[in-house]
Amino acid sequence: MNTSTLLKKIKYVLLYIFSLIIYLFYIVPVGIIARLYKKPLKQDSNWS
Amino acid sequence: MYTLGISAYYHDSAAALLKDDKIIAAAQEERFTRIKHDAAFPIKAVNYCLEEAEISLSQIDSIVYYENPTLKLSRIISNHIKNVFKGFFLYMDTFPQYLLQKHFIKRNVTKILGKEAAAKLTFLHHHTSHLASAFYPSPFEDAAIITMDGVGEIETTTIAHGEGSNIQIKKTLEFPDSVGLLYSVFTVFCGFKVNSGEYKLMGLAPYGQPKYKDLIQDKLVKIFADGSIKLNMEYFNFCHEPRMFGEKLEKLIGIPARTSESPLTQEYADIASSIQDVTEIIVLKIAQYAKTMTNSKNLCLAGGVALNCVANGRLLKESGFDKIWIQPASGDAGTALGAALHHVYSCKPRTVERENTDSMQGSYLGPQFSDENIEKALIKLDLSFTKLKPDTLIEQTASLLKNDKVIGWFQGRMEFGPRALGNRSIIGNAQSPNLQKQMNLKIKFRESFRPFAPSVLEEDVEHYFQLQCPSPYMLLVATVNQDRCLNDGISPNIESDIHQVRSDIPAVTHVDYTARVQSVSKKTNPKYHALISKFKSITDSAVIINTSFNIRGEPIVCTPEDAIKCFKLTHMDALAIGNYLVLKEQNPSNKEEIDEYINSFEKD
Repeated sequence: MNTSTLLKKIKYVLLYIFSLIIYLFYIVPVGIIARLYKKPLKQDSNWS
Repeated sequence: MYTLGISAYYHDSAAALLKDDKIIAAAQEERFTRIKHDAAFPIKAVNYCLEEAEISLSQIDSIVYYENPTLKLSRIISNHIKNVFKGFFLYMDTFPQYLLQKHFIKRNVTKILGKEAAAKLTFLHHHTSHLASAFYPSPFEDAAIITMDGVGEIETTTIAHGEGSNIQIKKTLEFPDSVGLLYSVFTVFCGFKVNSGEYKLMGLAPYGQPKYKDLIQDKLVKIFADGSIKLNMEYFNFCHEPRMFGEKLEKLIGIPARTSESPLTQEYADIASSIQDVTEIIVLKIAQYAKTMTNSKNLCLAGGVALNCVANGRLLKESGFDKIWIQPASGDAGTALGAALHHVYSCKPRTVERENTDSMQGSYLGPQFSDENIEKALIKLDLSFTKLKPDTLIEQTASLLKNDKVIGWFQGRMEFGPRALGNRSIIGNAQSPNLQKQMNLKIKFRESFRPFAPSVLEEDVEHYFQLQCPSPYMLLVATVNQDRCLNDGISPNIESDIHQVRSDIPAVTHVDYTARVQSVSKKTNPKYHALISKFKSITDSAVIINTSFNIRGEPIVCTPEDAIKCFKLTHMDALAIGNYLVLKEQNPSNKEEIDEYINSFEKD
């Protein structure tokens, strides 16, 4: 395996670890809190 | 001042180049790479645009990217927050890839076009790019603008008001409540592919009855009086799975989703009919709401849903707008043009010179090839050919058409957008009762139920179709005039009624007596107009079949080499390319070569 392929693989692994960290430490806690405070459904229109 | 617009990394990557506010060139990357819906950075399309303008990249003043990657990232994260736990595998599958390939656009541009180009890069919102592509080239000073697609950054539908050079957004509908995605779900359900099968679903709909319409409205989508919608996400999986729906939807519909290439039964035609009806209801309500919001007489449309020409036909009749203009490259390719136009008109006033004339130049914005280039390609690919004078070529082509021959017609600049409009087209005699079947199965190698569109002289539209306005971009469906129809009133059936003769132009009359009309104007395409005029003079018919010059799964041909190859390896009878006429009887091909060619493209 040459150096550039190795660096690419390391980059992929780091990216996956980074994504997992975001998931565990941002998406999961915020997601749990968001479930507790659900917005009421709009009754007559859904435009923003 | 030169402005380059770019769309990339999702589907139908494209580039468009403006000199001041004049469109110099625009093309999709797929035409050059020969990969259908190519999502790669459109470097070949960019290079073509530069060649067309005879400038170098350093002479470009601004580069505008069609969407904002930061907003897109925030939508992706917020979607996973809403679907926490359920979407973990989708997240781990897509998020790192998104970061790696699609998020850091400036870095990608630096790599591909260089630092100097990256310094000129700005970003626009996805739906603003669509809105700009719909309004700025239109012939209107003032118009309501609607964009509907799957999803942009966050928005799925946007209503805006365009006045002069100003576009003001009035209302938006946000992900996941999307009419485009709803249609795509049923496209997949009926066994077709997202982003290419929607057209097939629309073509399938008239074979069915809207038996599932009430079920869809009761259980799947709540349609509010103002046209906004709320999807019942219990039945859709696209927020947390790669698959768009699960077993719950199949149970609700009562039949399993159709697998690709399996036989099409009546139930799927009924499903297609139902979702088409529901889509039309939503689109009409949105348009009526846009009218009350903007009080404008004119409507401009863009976004993938605007390619639903059946819905467009209803909008024309029932929405209350006097005039409608639809961007011919309504899909994501058109956003490259919209992004560039928006940049120009953010610092320049816009004036519409003449009503009824748009600035799209017939959408003939792609490359063209000289006779010298064409002859070189014909010699290189070892074909026997005849060079003719332009008038003689038209005469001989018209005569071949009269004899029910199928002809590849390759002339002038390539079209921008998904439709072939008479420069990269396969043409035939619309009066022939057998040509639809023959062209579908032996030339296009596609499903036999699919209809063909007519090209009709602009001045003769009303003699054939119930259409009171031009339809230059093949984006309006109209009913064939009653006096031309036969056997009216028979309920269609997908399993038995595909190839019935329904009118005196049977090859272009769909099962519901409609046609997706292209009106051909002498001003925008004089050669094509002359051909149909000649055909009319010898047959008394001003209508011919026009289908894109490609086979199933292949992008529309771009170069003479692409056209010659497609001609040689299908059952077309002749090729009119530039001023050259090539006949199949002088250039036969063998079955193995044809099979190899068909299999070289992934079926869409």
